[in-house]
Amino acid sequence: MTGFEPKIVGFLCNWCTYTGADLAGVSRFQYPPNFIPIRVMCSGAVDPMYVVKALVEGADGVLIGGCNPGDCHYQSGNYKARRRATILKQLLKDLGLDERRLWVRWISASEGKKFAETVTEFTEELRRLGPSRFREEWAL
Amino acid sequence: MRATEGRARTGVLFCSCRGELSSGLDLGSLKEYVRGLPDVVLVGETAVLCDQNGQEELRKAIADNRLDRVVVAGCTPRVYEEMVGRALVAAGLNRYMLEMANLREQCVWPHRDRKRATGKARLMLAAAVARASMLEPLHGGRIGMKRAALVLGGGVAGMQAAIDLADDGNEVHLVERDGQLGGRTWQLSTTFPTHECKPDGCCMHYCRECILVPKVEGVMQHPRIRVHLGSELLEFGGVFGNYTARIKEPGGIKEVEVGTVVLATGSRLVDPANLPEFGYGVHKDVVTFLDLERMIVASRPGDHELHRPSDGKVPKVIDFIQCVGSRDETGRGKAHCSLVCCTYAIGQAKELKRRYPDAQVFIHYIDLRGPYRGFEEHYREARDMGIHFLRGRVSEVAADRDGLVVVGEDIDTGKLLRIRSDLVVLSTGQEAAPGTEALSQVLRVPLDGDGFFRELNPAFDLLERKGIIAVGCAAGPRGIRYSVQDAKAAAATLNGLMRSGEVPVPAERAEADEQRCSGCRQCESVCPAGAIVMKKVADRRRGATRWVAHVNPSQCVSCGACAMACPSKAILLSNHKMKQLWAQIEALT
Repeated sequence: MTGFEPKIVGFLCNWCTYTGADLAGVSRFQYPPNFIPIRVMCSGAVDPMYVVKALVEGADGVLIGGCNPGDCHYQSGNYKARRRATILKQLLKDLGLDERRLWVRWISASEGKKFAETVTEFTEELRRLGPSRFREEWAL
Repeated sequence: MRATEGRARTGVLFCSCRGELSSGLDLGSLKEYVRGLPDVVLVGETAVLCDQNGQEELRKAIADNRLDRVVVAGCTPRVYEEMVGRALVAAGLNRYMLEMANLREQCVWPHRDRKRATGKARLMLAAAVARASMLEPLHGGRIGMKRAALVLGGGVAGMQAAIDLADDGNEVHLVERDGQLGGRTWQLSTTFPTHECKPDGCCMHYCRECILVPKVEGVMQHPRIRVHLGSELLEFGGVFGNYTARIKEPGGIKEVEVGTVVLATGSRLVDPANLPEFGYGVHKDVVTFLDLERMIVASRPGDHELHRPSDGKVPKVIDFIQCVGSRDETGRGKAHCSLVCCTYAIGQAKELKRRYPDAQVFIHYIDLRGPYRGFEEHYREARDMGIHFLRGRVSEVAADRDGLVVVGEDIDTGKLLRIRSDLVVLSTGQEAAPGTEALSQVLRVPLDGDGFFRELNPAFDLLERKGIIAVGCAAGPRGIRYSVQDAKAAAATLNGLMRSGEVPVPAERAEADEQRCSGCRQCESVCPAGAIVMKKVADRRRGATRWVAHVNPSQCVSCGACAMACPSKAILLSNHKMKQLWAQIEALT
């Protein structure tokens, strides 16, 4: 898989992971530019359809980033996201997608380093997995 | 409005941030790229958008090009969205017709490879422009608010909040579980920073009698404070600005309507019986600091002697044990530091040493912590008085025929200690008051990891959440002075809110479409703010009535959980509509 650069779409919660991503930048922690952020209010507001849409449109991986357990700005949004992601992963597996292409991670506003590391690891994993064929298989 | 007639007119303004952006991106090619994106009628650049000149440029660009929406390509919206939004308003646009592409924090700074960073920036800009085309003007509002407050807890913090709220013209209902006001402070003999009551010397009027009694009377006699003693909150409902609370009083149940709430429910002391090595409850002469306070208070009239519990003898060797139930990693106590124990233990030690200069007083500590002005002087004075500070944990308080033996170590000299002691005082830490968790659920205020009410922002605390503020030890252990400051700040914030008589309604909020709603109530069950209520509407097609979801606008916290849960997509978050997300995703991929 030489030269393959995966495309990652990230749904980041406004209060924790998006701010953590800002902190990664402010701290000049480097991570691969394969990752493109979309800001949402809460990980619990990420509709599974957004994830499926991103994958069908050609993303090689999707990251959902929320607040650490117990730390949700809205008390329980990240728990909702967690439960939903468990089902979604199963569903995506049934549709033939490698579940390693969907990551759900809790990264707080102060964890810039963790954000950079997470994106780096995810990018490496997707480089190993190669391009997603989800788009050709499921695009209408 | 112009947006709905025909195509959007999007202006994209690059803020080069004094060269930050151009240092890592090929701005020229990005501008060229953006010019070709749908709806873009202007691509501009400014050096600094966050000063007056930059905002003037933005205003001019909007006016000259009849822009109806703006994409700012520069820094993070987390910090600058408010400010740029104001510039839009100044130019006559709705504040929400703005999208920011965060090219600085999330592209230039974390990616050194100029070519690849520019590639990522193209995608981010495409998504921002696509989202901008889908933006709609949003409008907040205001609804009426009750000029009344509910204060839960009648300790120093609750009393101060009640007084400040009532002085501003608000009705206050002060609910106290105990039969009297004053909380834990009422049980203290003297308080920091003086820790001294000298009726014959230079009285500073700093003690309970001189400070607290007038305060309690001030509350009891205030014409606008209704004190509910021996009472508890039973139920809580309504919406921000118009809450209803049912209070269980000794005589029955009372319902009150309030606009705001102060949580001043305090903390409770860790039960030292959880730590059996200290022998509390087994040996009579092992007491908590609060027991000692009561002993000191009891000794003030009469012979003015301190009598220990077992035989009434005056103690000559006294050991204070710090961090009992605090900074505990064994799980039997609390992991956090209770902040005030070093301060009060030193105060008590000084009081004993003043009365009995011949007594030997030991303080066993792990670290001395006193995050208060005047603590250093307090500590030095104690040392100069001959109080012994021993660093090290106490492993056991044993007893034999001759009395108590404190077994521990002195880390500084490396010696094991066996001190024959007359009185052992446990400096017990604080934990969340009983009922805190239940209250957090009823009032929908989250708790922190230690079980106290969580402050909205740990750095700039005391921000109100829907008119509800936690103050004093309810939000974590703190000294009297800081509890009172909390209460004053909370009251000032709430007074400001109530003075207007109106509650702000956020423009960014969930909105339900009655036509599409099937009444399944999924949204109601996921809403963390209790903002969704079901209401009855006429169903014209079927000529009957049916239940649909209604979002209480002032109560909504704009999280989007309802929009996600709604199977018929009848509820949308006004600033994160599905079509907006959809456009972003399509542009990205």
